[in-house]
This record gives sequence, C-alpha cells and structure tokens, in this order.
Amino acid sequence: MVYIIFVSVAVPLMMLLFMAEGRSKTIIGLVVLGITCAVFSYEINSLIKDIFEINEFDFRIFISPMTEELIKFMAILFFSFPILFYNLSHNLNKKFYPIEAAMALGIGFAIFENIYLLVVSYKYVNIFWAIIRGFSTGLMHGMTTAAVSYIMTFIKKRKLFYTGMMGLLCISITYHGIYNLLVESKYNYVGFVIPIFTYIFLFYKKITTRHSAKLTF
Amino acid sequence: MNRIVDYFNIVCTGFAFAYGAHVSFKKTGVLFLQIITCAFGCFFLGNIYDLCRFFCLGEYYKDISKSGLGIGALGYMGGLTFLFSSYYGAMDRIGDDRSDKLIKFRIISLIPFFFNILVCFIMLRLSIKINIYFWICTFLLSVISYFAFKHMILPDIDNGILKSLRFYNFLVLTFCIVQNLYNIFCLTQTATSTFLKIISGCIILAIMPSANRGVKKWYT
Repeated sequence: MVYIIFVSVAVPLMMLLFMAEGRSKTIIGLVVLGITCAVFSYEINSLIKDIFEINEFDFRIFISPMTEELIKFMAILFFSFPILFYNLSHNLNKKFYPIEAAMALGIGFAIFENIYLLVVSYKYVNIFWAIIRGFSTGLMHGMTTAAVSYIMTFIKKRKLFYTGMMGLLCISITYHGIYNLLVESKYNYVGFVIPIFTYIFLFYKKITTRHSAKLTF
Repeated sequence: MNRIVDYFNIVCTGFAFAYGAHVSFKKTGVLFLQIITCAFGCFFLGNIYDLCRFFCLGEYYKDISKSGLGIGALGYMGGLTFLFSSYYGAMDRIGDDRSDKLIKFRIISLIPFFFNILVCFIMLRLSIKINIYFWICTFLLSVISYFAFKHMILPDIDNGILKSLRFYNFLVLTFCIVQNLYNIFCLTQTATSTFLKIISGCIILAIMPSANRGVKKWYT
C-alpha cells in the first residue's frame, strides 16, 4: 500500500521536476525527497517494531520522534553536503535558502504521512481530521526539519557546524516528542495548536526582522 | 515538592530562553548569545517534555529505560551540546590564540574536567549504578567546565572579551558543578537533589543576563 501511494504521488512530481528551473526545482525536488524519507521511515519503524516487539502506542510516543527526525536530518545532510561542499549546483552565483528548502522536505514528509493515514483509516476520517493533520502535523514536520537545517548556514565554520548539528537535532526530536505525547493523550487539543502558534510566531519574526538565513557561494 | 521544583525549573529555563531570544535573535544579534539561547531553549523543551510525560502518562511510565536515555534526556543533552558549542565553536576562537605562553593556563583548566571524571569513578567503586546517560552528561559537563574555567583564568590577549565575560564563565562553571552533583544525587535518590535543582534554576536565571551584559560591555 505504501509503495502504491508513493508511486501515485511521487511520479507526477518527478515529471514536474524535469520541467522546473531554479528555486522551484529545488523546492519540488525536496518535497519528493521528503516523500521518499517518509517511505523509508515507514520501513525502519516497522522493522524496529518487529525486532523489539514494541506496542504501537509506546512506539509512537518514545521511538518514532527519534527515527523520523534522524531520517529527515540525514536527508538534509545528504542533499546539502554536495551542494555546499563541492559546489555541484550549476548556478554558483545564486543564493541558496537552506531553511526554506528544508521546510519543503519536512512538508513532503508530512504530506505522505497524511495520505497514508487517510488511506488506512478512511472509515474514521472527516474534514476536521484533515484540517488538524494538515495544519498541525504538516507544520510540525516542516518546522523541525527547518530547525535542523539552520546549522547549514554555519557550514563554513566547521567546529560550530559539527557541535551545533547535534544540538539542533536534539531540539527537533524533543519538539516532535512533545507533540506526539500530547496528541496521543487527553490534551490532544494542546498538541494540535502548538505547531500552529510556533509557525505564527516564526512567521511574524521573519516579517518584522526581514531576516532570512541564506548562504552565498 | 518535586513537582513545584520542576515548575520552578521550567520558569527559569523559559525565562532564560525568552530573554535570550529577545536580545540575540535580531539583525544585529551576536552569534555567541544565539547559541546560548538555543542551549536554554533545549533545556526548556526537555523540562516541558518531562512535565508533559507526567501529565499525559502518569508515574507508570517513570522508568523508561535502564540506560536513562529518553526524549527528555535528549533535550538536556542537547542543551549541554549547545553550551559546549558556544565555547568550542565561538568563544574559544576569540579568547585563546593557541600560543605556547598560555599552555600553563590550559593545563590548570583541566582540573575541573578530571575532578568530575574522578568523582564518577569513585561512585563506580562504591557500586552505585551509573547509566550511559549519566556518563554522556558528565563528559559534556566536564568539557564545558574546562572551557569556562579556562576563560576565567586566561589573561585577555588583546580584545577584552574574556574580562567582560568572567562573571558569566563563573556562573557556567558553578552550573556545571551543581548539575553534576544533582545527577549524582539523583542516582542515590536523596532529598539533596531537590535543593540542587533549585540552586541550578537560580543560576540559570542569572546566566543569560550576565552573558548579555558581558557582550554589551565588550562592544562598548
């Protein structure tokens, strides 16, 4: 089922990728990469659950934040290292926006996760479920990935890059863990609004300070 | 009592994070302050996670794993990593010029580092069970205390940054010692850990303003 959904979603985006240029191409490519990470995450999660015989509830609360954030983080590293270290981008004079790009990866991950959950639970979903999944889970995944990618702006300062990388990964795992913990409990309404308020705050900061972390080659 | 102390700690780390975000995350913000802000943001998130776990799951899920590793622990370790990063990645580059005349200061600065490690080995000899989380935290606290002590005793090379941040480094060193003792007393499950947590919270309240004051003094 997972691979049917993957092909249905990723193939049209891949076709669009070949036609796009510049920054659009980067964003679409990262959305596809995010979808691929979601498939990979599904396989890893299933494997861990089978090997260690963890029940679904415990796995969602304690393990899945770590596995999902690690997989997204490795995707960011894998994508960014060639561009940032070896200058493989054909437009070397163009600015690269790592945070917005990484958010696209996180959103792609969330899109696939929502589609998969919609398919397996189609009897129980409604428009409110979709609104909540779309606004809260989508934003949560986007922002945790964007937070980790912030370290890419320090890629030229090696000492800061390696140590800060671990710290930002811990932040994103903890944030994801808080979200999962709340939405699986009787305080799920608190969990749903946290990513929305975080996003509004960050968006407000971006508009008022006009500060966008970007890296030039 | 423990719950009240947890709330107090959340307020302290929340204040440090909010204050740091206000003074450092702007167009002219200093990188060093931003990294420390991220450290307290991480501590804050870790405390929030522990509180949420208590309210959502109750005491039943208190002991998650024998290794001590969990998502709340990651929040704490992430904060320590950021504090380490603020020294190793930012401040040490400015304060220490790697010249041979400063080598004796670097050697003396290893005292708190080895003291921490020695205390852990003494605990092992006393057959107190230590988990991997404790070892990681002890190592990070030891390294941070090395840098904090070094920057307290190093003479200023030419730019005056170390002199203006001396009090901040003293607070960080005290924080490391108190946190290490807190981790030890948590393992032995005594009431002293509660008081140490209160002291740690008070130090956290003072750290961010002292860092900001020090940086402002250096710039003026």
